[in-house]
Amino acid sequence: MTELTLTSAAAERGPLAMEAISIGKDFRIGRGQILHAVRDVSFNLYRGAVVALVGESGSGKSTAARLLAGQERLTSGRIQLDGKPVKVASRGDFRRYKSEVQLVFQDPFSSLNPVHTVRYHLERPVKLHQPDANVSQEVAALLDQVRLTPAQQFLPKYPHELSGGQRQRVSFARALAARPAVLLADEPVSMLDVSIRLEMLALLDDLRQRFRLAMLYITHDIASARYFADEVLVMYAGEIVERGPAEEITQHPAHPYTQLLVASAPDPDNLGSALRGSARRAQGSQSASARRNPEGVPAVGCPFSPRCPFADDRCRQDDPPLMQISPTRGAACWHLDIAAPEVVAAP
Amino acid sequence: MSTDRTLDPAILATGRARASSADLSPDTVLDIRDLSVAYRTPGGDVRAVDRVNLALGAGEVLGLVGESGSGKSTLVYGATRLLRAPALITNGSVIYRGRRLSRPVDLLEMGPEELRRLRWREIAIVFQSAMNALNPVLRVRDQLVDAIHAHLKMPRDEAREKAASLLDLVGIPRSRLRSYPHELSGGMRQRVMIAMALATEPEVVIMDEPTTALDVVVQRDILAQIVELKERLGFSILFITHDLSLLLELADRIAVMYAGQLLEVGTAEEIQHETSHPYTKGLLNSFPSLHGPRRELAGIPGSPPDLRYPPPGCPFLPRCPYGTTACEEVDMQLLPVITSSDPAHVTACPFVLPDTPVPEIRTPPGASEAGDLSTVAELGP
Repeated sequence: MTELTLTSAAAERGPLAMEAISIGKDFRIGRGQILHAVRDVSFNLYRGAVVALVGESGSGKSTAARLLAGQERLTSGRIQLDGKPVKVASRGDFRRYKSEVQLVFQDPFSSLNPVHTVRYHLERPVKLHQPDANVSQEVAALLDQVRLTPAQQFLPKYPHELSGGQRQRVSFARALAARPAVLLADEPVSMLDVSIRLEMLALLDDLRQRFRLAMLYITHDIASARYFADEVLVMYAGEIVERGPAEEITQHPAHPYTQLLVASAPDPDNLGSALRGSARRAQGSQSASARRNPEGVPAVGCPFSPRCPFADDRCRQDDPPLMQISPTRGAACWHLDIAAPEVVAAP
Repeated sequence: MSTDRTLDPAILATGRARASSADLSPDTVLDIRDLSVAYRTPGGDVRAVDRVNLALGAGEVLGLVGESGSGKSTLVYGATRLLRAPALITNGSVIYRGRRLSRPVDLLEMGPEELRRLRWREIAIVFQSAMNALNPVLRVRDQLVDAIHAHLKMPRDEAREKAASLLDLVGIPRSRLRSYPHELSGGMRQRVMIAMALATEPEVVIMDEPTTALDVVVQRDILAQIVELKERLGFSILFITHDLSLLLELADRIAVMYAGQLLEVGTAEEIQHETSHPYTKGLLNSFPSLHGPRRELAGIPGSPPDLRYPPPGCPFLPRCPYGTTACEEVDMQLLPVITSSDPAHVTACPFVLPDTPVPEIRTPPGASEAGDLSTVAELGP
């Protein structure tokens, strides 16, 4: 839809697997009101690459994942898998689609069925998606791939007998059972302890390489996106407000919202800068503007304008499109020259 | 020791200074001594908290960090007598010295009525999940008024006015008084929880992962508000979390807990820059940093030990890159870090110092079956 021609920073990793083209999703929320959960969002997923979708609760990032997974109907736009439009209308179509595109959920405590064993959770998708496989061999191989070894020890266990990290490993194995090309990971580590998050991300990274998975990594932790993703898409109120290579976005955020996200991340390398006592950050205005506007998202104009320190009348009237900053980078802001002069000025 | 509650910007600073001096100073508000808590199970006792000593100074923010299952919540709920069978306090005392009390009291010796008067009035708790802790069928105002009436004698009108002013305190518009919890965002709910905890002007506020379910922007906002309220009202905070990066910014002192024991206690600066215990080093190397150069990150491979069958010596040994056979005989005493100028910076590891290099790749004895990664060798600053 937009006039710009951005190349994804993830494109160099491998061939195109999935395209979301101007997808949108509206929800009716009563009294004739409509919530635009996802608005005109476009991005590509490439085999062997990770694209991170970063945003706060309610920004529409999970809805976007559910759209890609075929679990919600698109209001507008289309999704293509391997260059062909996606069909999920019939049961058979949906199943074929599911064997290519798998979703991993945030909460390993509720995404596994408490009355079934690990064996059951893994055998079912193997039988469904790989009818010719030797089931027990395949299940053991899956457990091995997510490093739940020895497999025999884990097969008879119920979810409550596993730790959070082990449960999430079972979720990964279940997703891999379909031998997918695309893995959509919706906050896969945010429910886990900080100390094992890295281990899980390292595991996902290993699986990505081994199976050349095209991965969508959804998170509100922009710091983990820096380490894990090739391309970062920052989502706010259903729109992508900034996108580009992970390192560039996190080191030199251009959009005021990305700047707020980066400033809000706990920063151990800059101790005492922010929260403690009298050394309160000089940018009190940032913090104040961070308070969520109780009126929610405005009907017209830039969705971030009520919280934005740079907003003016134009921002409140017209919603800015994604504007190209570099061949791989774009941001949707009228005032990039004020918000991020050093980013715009760079050649 | 001053007893006034005026807006003293120096409160925080003095709190920090006090905290780094001796443990048993008269400015200690809450003093947990030798506390042990066990869970009685058919398979034997699980020693969830094992002889823990921890003191919270007046006006201090003390952070308690540990993984799930490390016993951090059990420690705090045990100390405040909020645990039920099969949990059993097997040892210890919890001394509370409030400014409103004539003499120190031991929470573990109190009768139910005494406890009821002390709870909330003196020691309040902000629970982790605001969604579950608020009553879904009561309006915000009624919940606040209930909390006030349960602990303070006050006419209804006055209590309602107080409820409104509590919302002012945490920055929620008064129009929200008539809202039900489900009509509020996650951040607002957590703010309501904080407002409730502050309803009776407690001296100690315990916060159990108050921001875990929130996203970073809201989290930061709420933490900043907590610090601001603390400075204004002068209470002390015991902050429980599994996220060490938060505590480095927020807490004056940090206690690191693992498998029911404290492994290291020090000021935030000491924990970050003179990290002594290998577990703390592992935690510090577990979160991606947004700024500065990209570091090699490792996390901590393996998982905590099964406390029904505690390993001999140091419980962290199976996951420790520095571990040797001598570690099986460590008695887990917290002793001052030799290289530190602050005697209150203590560690349970007698072998590893802040500048000890990570040894060559080794497989620690009994390394855990699940989760060993090729990146194991990267542990270390």
